[in-house]
Amino acid sequence: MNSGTLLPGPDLSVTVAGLRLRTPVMTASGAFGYGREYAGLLDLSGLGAIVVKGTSLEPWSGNPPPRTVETAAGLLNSIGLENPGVECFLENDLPWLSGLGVPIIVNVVGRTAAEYAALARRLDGAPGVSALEANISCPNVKEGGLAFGADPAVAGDLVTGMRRATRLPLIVKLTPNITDVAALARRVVEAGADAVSLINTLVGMAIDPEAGRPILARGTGGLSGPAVKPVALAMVYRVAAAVTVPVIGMGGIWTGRDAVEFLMAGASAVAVGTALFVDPEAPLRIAREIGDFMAGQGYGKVGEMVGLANTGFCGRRPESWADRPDQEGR
Amino acid sequence: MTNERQAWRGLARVLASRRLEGPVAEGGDSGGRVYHHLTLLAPEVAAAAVPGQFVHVLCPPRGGAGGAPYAPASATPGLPFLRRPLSVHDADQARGTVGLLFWVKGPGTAGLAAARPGDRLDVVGPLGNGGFPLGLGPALVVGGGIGLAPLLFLARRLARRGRVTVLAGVAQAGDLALVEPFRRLKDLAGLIVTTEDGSPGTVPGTVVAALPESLDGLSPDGLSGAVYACGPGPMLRAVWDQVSARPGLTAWFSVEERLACGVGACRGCAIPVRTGPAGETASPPDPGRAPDYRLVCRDGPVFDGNLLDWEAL
Repeated sequence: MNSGTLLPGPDLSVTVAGLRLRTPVMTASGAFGYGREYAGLLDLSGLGAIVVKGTSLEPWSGNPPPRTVETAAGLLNSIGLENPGVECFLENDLPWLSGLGVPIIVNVVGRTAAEYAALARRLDGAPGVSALEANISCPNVKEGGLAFGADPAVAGDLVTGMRRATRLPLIVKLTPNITDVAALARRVVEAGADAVSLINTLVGMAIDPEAGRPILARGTGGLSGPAVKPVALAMVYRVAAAVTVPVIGMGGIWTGRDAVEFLMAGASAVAVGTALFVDPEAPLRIAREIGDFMAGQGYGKVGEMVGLANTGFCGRRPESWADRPDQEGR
Repeated sequence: MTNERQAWRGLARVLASRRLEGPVAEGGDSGGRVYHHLTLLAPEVAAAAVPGQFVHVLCPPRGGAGGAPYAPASATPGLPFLRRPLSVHDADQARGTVGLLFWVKGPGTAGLAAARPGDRLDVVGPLGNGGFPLGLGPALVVGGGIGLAPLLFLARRLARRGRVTVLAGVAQAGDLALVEPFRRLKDLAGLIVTTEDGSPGTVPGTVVAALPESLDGLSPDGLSGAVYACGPGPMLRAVWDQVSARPGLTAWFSVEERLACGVGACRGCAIPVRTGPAGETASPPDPGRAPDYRLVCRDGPVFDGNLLDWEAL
C-alpha cells in the first residue's frame, strides 16, 4: 500500500480475461446501445471497456411496447433484444467503436446454440472486437436468453460450442433467476468461459391499477437499478468464491463505493448500466470515485481490493484466489 | 465525434417557476389537474432546439415545499428514479431561455413543480429528431390538453413563415390556462378553442369535432397544407382518420411512449411503424407478422402520419 507522499495516484487499470482495461468500469450491455448514442455526453475513450447491445445473427425487432416502467429505485425493461443484427454492427458501428482505443466487447444472443456458435465464428478475428459476452440470461425473449442460462447443462453445451468457434476471450453473462448461480458459473467455466459477468436483470412486474393489467406488454420484465444491488452483490460474492476465472460484477452500481463493494465481493471489474440513463457520465464518475476511495484508503492497485471481503461462506478465502493470474497485488 | 445530434448536458438555472393560472371561468375546475411552467436558463438548449424536440430533466426528489400536490405520505421512496422527458414549450434564443410546460402528474413532475428560482436542474437536450418539419404552405396546429405543450414553439416558428391556424382543445374551463399563451401569439390566422364542458367563449366539444371545418378552411380546396398534432392517442388517431381521407394534406404527429435513456441506447420507447428503417428491416421468424418499430426518443417524437402503424399503436 502507498505510504509516501510522492507516489503516483492509485492505478485503476485491471486485466480481465486477457483484456487490459484503463479502469475497472465498463458499460453494461443493453444500456449503452452501440456507444455512439452517448457520444457527446461522455468521453467514451475514458471507459474501461464498452459492452455493446445484445447482437444476433439477423436483425431482431424486439417486443411490443410498453417496454419500460420506472419502479422504486429501479427500472423494469422488456426490450426483447431489439438489434440490427451482426452484419449491420460490423459495417456501421464496429469501425467507429474500434477507433476509440477502448476494448470492445460484443454481447451476443441467439435462438439456438448453433446461432451463438455462428456469431462467435463470425466475430472471431473481426478487427476491433476484443471479446465476446454470451448473453444466456435475458428474461425477455421466448427463445434464447434465459432458456439457455437457467440450466447449467444446456448452458455448458452452448459455451462449449462457442469456445470451439472462437479464440476471442469469452465472457458468459449469468442470470440471477436461478437457485444455484454458483453451479451454473462452474459449469460454464468448465466449458471454456474465460470470465463470467453477473447479474442480468431479475424477473419483475408492475401493474397499472386503473387498467387492471400489467404495464409491460409482455407482462414481466427485467429489473435493474439500485433496487437490485444487494441481490447482485450476494450473487457476485457466491460466484467469485466458486470459480477461478475473473468475475465482472454489475447490478445497480451508482457510485464508486457501490463499485468497491462489488470488487471486494470478488469482482475483478464492474459494469454500469441503468445509472447511465440518469447520469450519462456515470462510468467515468464512478471510476473517479473508485480512485478517490483508493487514495483515501491507501490502495495502490484495484487488485488489492478484489475479493477482500470474500472470506467464503465457510469463513475463509477460497484457495483458488492464489491461482488467479488476474489478481494483481494480492 | 460523429454524433449527428449533439445534446447538451448541464445544470440549467430556474428563472421562473409558476403554477399555471389562466382566465379560469367562475367555478371552473380542472378535474384536479395542476399544470406548471418553468423557465430555465439554458442558452445551449435554446440555441439548438427546434419545435417538437424535448429535454430530459432530472427531477429533484419530491417533498419540496411550494405546495406540490403529490402527497409525500403516500409516496414510495426511490421515486422519481428516471429523468422526465419534457417537450420544449418555448425557446428564446436571445435570452437563452427554455420554457417547459407540464402536467403535475406524479413524483417526477411534482419535484419539478417544487423547483424555485435559483435552483439548478440537470438537463440533457435538446433530444429527438429534427422535430416538426416546417413547410411554407398553410398550416393547422391541433392540440389536445397537455399535448398543447410542444405546439406553442411550433406555432411561433410557423407563424414567421406563413398562414397558421391553431385548433386547441381542453376538457374543461380549468384547463384553459393551457390555451392562454396561444392567445398572446402574434400573427396567427386563427385560434379556435374547444372545451368539452362548453365553457363560455369556446366551441363546445372536442378538436376532433371541430376539425372538419378547420381542414376545410386550411386551403381553398381543403386539400393542401400541413397538419401538426399532439395530444392523447385517441385524438391523434381521429385526426389521422380525417387527414388521411384528404389526399394532398401532410400530417405530423408528436407521440408519447415511456422513455428511459432518451438517446436511443436502450430501445425502450419503441412504437410500431409500417416500414423498417434502412438496415434495420426486421427479418422476423414469421415474415410479415413481426412488427417494425421506431424509437420515440431517437426517431421521433415527431412522426409522419404515413409512417405510424395506426392499427398497432
